[in-house]
Amino acid sequence: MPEIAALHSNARKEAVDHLSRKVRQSMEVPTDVYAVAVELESMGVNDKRARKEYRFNSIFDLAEEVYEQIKQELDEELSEDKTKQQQKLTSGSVWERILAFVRYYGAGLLFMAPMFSQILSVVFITYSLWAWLYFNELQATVIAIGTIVAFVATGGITLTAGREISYYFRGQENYYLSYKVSRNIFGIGLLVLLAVGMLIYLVNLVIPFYPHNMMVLSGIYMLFIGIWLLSSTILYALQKHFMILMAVLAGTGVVILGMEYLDMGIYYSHWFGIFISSLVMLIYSFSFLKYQIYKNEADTKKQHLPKFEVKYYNNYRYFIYGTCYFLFLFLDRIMAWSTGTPPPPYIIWFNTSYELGMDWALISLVLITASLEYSVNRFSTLILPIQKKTNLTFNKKFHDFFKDFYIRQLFLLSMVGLLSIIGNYYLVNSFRGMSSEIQIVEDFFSSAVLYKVFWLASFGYLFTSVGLMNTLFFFTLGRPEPVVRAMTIAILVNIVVGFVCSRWYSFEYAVVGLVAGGLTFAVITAVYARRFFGDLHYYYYSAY
Amino acid sequence: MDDKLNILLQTEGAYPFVKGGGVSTWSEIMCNQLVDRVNFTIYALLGNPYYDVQYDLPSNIKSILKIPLWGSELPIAYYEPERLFSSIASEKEFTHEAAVHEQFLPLFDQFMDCLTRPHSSNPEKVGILLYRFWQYFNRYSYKDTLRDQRVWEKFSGKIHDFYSADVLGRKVDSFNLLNATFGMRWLYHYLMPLDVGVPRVDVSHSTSSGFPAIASIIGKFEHGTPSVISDHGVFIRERIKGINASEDIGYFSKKMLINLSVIIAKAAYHYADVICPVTKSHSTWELRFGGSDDKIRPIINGVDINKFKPLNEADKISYERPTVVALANLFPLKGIETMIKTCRRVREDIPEVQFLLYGDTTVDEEYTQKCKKLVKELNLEHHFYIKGFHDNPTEVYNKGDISILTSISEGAPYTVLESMSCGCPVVATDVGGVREVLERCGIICRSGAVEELAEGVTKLLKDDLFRKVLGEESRRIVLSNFTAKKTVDAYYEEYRKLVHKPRVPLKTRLKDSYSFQKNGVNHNYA
Repeated sequence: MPEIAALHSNARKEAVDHLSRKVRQSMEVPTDVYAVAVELESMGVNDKRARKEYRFNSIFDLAEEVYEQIKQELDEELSEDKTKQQQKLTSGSVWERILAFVRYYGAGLLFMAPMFSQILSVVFITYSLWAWLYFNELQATVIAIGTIVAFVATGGITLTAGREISYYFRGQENYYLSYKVSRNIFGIGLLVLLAVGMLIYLVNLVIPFYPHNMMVLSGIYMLFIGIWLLSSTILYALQKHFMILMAVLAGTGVVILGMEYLDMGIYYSHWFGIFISSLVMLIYSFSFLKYQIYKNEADTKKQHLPKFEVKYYNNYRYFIYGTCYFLFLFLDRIMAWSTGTPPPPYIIWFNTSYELGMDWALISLVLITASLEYSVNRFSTLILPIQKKTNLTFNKKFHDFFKDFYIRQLFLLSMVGLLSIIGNYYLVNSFRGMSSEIQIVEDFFSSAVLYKVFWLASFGYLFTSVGLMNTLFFFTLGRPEPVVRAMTIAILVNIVVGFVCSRWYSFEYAVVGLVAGGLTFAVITAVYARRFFGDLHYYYYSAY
Repeated sequence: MDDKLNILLQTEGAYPFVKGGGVSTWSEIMCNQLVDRVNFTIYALLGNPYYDVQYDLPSNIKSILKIPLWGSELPIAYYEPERLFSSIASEKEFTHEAAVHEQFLPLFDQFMDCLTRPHSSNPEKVGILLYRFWQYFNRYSYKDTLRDQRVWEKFSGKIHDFYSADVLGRKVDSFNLLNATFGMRWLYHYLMPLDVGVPRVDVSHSTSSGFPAIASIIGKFEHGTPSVISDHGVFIRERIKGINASEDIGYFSKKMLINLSVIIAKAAYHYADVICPVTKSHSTWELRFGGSDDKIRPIINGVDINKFKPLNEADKISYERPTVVALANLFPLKGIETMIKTCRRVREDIPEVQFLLYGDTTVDEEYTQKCKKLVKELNLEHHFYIKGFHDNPTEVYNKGDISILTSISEGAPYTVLESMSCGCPVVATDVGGVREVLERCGIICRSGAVEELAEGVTKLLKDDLFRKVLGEESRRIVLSNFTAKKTVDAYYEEYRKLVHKPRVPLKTRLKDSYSFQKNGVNHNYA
């Protein structure tokens, strides 16, 4: 009889060995005995078979034995205590980082390519979508006011639109709602533009800052430029940067056509060009989304977007920031153009010298902010794997790693900033030799305040870029509050310092407001960022 | 006066927002067939907030509470749509440090103890904690509390102890920061029912012993509402299976998710008055997790025999090729890979065979891609067709020669019952309640056994007479045992019995008899 018992016991052991191997084929490490029971069930074992074939009272008894066997196997395979281990945290080899920088910096430049193309287009063919080298100061004032109002009025909408469309398009891959949200936001943007235009028109009726015709002209430009900005936002969110460049080039081509061949005059040519450019972007965006809906059968279920309160809750801080940011960027111009000797003929009067200095500095801004694409993408790329590599016992190492990461990004941005400003200076200054041959070049360099504005604005933009980098980190983890706070204070500083300097010294020192505001924005957001990176694990968790 | 019963019907990822799947089908039948006897309030947990109602609703659905567990930064706007935004904002302001520290953290501390030791946790205590949380969230902001840094620190500390104590875990995996991040986020999402008001009704009926059942527990404390659980696939078993199969999350994350499911399921069974598995075979799991024999009353699913019926020969259009049909949403529990392999095996004997699989391909898109890849790898592009959702299953079953089910876990699958009702013979795996319905009229194979499945399919496709006999017998068995009317009447009877039971809100007892012991100090949270 003992032999029979031993035989049974051997057969049971073999069966358990066999089952444990089969269970581990589908689950390497079962979480508990019930996971084994479920797996046995899916292999066709039930209570009846457990009794009949394996001589256990139930499937749970059999699972217990199999689980014990698996635990023993695991004991033999791995015996170190992993609580005492921590992998080395690294952000990749130097080459890997350099390649990533080149890739993202290139992408950042592509992001800015439409703006670059416009600068080049004015220089070489005298036209761009809404600029012309031969505008007089009155015309330039009209366009400048239209442009500033368009940027500020759509600033909040374009930022929230970008967020919303990206959320559905990339985050949820829900093409149907991406389409709907794009359409809705474009509609809202259009209404806002009309409302702002109407408001300014009415205010001007009550307090006539500008002659009626000038105001109407400015309003039309504002409307067209605003529509263009809204249209391009959809493509930015869909990450179709190249299409924006194409649309800009198409629009510029239409402006040339209007001026050179159809004799339409600059205003109609501009409006026609902006309209065609916007139309190209809109048709492409909506056709693209429609095609995705068709391809993915994304409209087979009834769906709707959240109601207004939810949208408001999700976006109002981003909306405030977007509006404030563009206001911040244009404040110094408003300060500079509203004073001087002799006093300006209207409340704001375009100053070519000042604008040229700012435009030159804008090239610095483009070159600097392209590197932000690298910093923010690197952050997003590293945040998950580094958490995965960090043992909970060693979470200090995680925070140390990201504090170092932040310092490195600050250093990188400063270096890129200094090189961009100096490079930009030497590059543009090298054209000075052509002054005697080309009238435009001579006009450009003859500006009295050009260098002063260029240097100060470039550093103002560099400081602002530090704030922008911090902003992108905060936005990545859904924390817009510190940014809104910092930007509000930066605007106040910009206004006060810009006002005092432009009135006390000379109009061009309005740019000191940009420098002081940029510095304020950088310092406040950096203080928050220090706290943020010191407790990053918590901030990452709570980013919902 | 309206003498209908008022029932709260709790669903998750199903009726009326998600079409297809057993729970949705069952809920639709319940609501439609009880139109003259019951008014329903639907309490629907959802994966995202964007889907609208996908069904034509009968007049007895009086209101719908939509609770999106994921995909919204402001979920409260969905489950309290009438609430003013200013009130949400003031609740946010009201959630101050002292409230979180003094009122929430002591409860959370005890909850974490249960979470880290789920099998030894006391389900009664878990229920009390859930109710206390619910009371707290009546006053304070759910989101702001769970995002509070002290709550996060408490969680991290507890989880660290949990990690250090798990001998097996220390050897196979290290508890990394991502496990902690996702662990706490899951708590935020899955426990969202704790922030939702529970209406006063005659009976609350949860379609699962998982997260929808939280509303039943709260209802019991707050209003003394009796409750029924319909365990369609046994929540805890399917969770354990699904979570263990996931390749994206580590050992500890799996363990935490399962622990959470265990404590919720145990509390759900503890506080339920009646537990209705859809098949007797499920009761073993329910007993293991705290269900008791006196509460368990199996009610098998039934099918609408007027909707699912064999068409007249004249109306019937069959495929020219031998055709196997299947209605199953594409996700791992449905064993679609086994079905594809079965198709390959059948093709060896019947080269012109075709398998037509109808079902939602968006439930688990990764899995759908995996299946499509397998079809390609096995050169079955002209034999196995993944067709997507079909809105007329009767037509599918009538056009097909036979129907197949290859699931690795099931309740009482509607696809089997509906096929049978249409006179379409079935080959199915021996899971859940399949044997109970198919024993005398179909071919039952072991789960995952491709050879057995292929043999069954081949036999049926080749033998016309056998197929005809099984089809007729299937219809006969459905008519006598598995009609929707029978099921619906059985549930209605349970409702009637519960309504007449005396109801005492458990909160009234709480004040006198419940207190928690911690660090030697008696804390009474009543």
